[in-house]
Amino acid sequence: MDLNLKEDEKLLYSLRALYRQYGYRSFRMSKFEKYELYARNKDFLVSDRVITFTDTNGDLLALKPDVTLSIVRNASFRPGWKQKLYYHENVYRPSGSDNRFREIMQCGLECIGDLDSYDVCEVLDLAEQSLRLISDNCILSVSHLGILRSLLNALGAEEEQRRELLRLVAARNEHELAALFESRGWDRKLLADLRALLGLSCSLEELPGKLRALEPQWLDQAVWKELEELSLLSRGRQSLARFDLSVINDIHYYNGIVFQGFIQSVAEKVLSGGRYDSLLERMNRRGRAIGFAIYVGLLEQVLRRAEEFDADVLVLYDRSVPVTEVQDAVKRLRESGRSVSAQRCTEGRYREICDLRGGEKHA
Amino acid sequence: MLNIALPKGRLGDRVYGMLKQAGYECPSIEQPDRRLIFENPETGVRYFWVKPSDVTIYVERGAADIGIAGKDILLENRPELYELLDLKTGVCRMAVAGPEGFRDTRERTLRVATKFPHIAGGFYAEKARDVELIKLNGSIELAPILGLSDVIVDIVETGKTLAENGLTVLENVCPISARLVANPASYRFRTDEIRRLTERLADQIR
Repeated sequence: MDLNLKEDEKLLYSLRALYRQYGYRSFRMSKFEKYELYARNKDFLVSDRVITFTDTNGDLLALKPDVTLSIVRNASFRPGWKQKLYYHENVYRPSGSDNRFREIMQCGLECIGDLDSYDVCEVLDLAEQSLRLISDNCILSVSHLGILRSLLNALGAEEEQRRELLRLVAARNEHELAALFESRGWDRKLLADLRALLGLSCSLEELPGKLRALEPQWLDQAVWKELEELSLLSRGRQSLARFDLSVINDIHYYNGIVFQGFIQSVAEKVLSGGRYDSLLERMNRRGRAIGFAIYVGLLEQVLRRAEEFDADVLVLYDRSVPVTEVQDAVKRLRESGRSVSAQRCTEGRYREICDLRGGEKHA
Repeated sequence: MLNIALPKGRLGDRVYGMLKQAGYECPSIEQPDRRLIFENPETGVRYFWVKPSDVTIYVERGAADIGIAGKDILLENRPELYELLDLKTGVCRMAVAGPEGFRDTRERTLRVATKFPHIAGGFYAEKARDVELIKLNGSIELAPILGLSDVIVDIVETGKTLAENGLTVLENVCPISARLVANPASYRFRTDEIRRLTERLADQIR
């Protein structure tokens, strides 16, 4: 059945069908949450600006700027169990070059609970399949925050220097990284390792081998183990995921695998996600979590083809034409499978004109 | 075709010279006319002349894959871009300037006129100095002369304009130079081309 869906509606439909195949359930939520939830976790949000208002009972509410926090707030833990949820919701936050509040359609999924490496791989695979549903020409960039965390620990960097170093890595700014190392007197071998990692682009399967070649003594054993497991699970798969150290999400909330998705002809990341056990910890929840969001609004330019015509046929009439004749013409044309607009003037664009004033003509 | 946003003016001319030397020549750009877009299919580049402060907008929004922007614009607007290379050209500094003999006693709020409120605000926030920022769009040197502000935060190249207006540099804020920037999405889809261009430019400044 042709539901006459728009391209973005078709995409959402396909994404939902994909997530359901993997046992994900739909999660619906209210448009508002208590402001307190966002105030406590401001750094997790894309922007710390939130639309607030006072409820009739005096509670300070916010139009939700984010979905993940609401899902985590409702998460529960049972050994061996994972809560698998998907959503498509509007969120409200500043966006665009003028940084004004906008309603943004976002869809995504969250996997929360007693996670293991399989779940991480499954979510990465779903992110990849989601991108492929949007466009064949897509890229999934993946990093592991444990790599940078290990390096920062080895450097003994303080909070402010950590922030600066992460900012420079995210901007691939090697010249200022070199200057930062120079000014702090940090180990040059670590700078060389960092630069080599920034230049590295490989599959997750190849990653442990490439890392081993660098001999990074500073890399945490737990990170090694996780990367080796991911490599094993990626073996033989024609995955488009590529390692990219510049993928960084907030290190206070995210840990482990983080990733971003891009499609050709969209200038920003259209998908963003990662492992966020630290957020659960901060919200006093047991378990681990991974998820991603797709910024559907960014896809408008790619998905929405401007409709060339207002309707297939313009039924043109004037006051001299009996209304029943207009009604019959519209019915006949509609039954032939065409869309019809009955008007008394020729304003607009149509494939054909059915002029009841003087017989049928073609545009 | 690699789309490159060049800043109009002397800096753009100098950087085009570097790109030409790196093998990204485009003869039509060297013709004296008023066109803004030039391309050379042989070298695979399309250049745009844009207002220097707009370069980051073109690159951030993907209209250009790469561009040349001053560090002042990057610090002020903080666009989400890759900063791939310091081109070591267009070198100058961001500085605090004021009337000769000016002394900041910290007894009252310091009035600072500037075109760069984020940079100036950040600079004084680090010092925990209470300031009133006055955003101006040009002729910044006038502000302390007319009593609109106590000091200014602005780009200083030679210091000649300051001296001619009875002002002097009081403190340096940060060094400024031209940077090669790239859109992160374009970088991913055109990694090899952009890395090659970056390497060729880097060879000229080593």
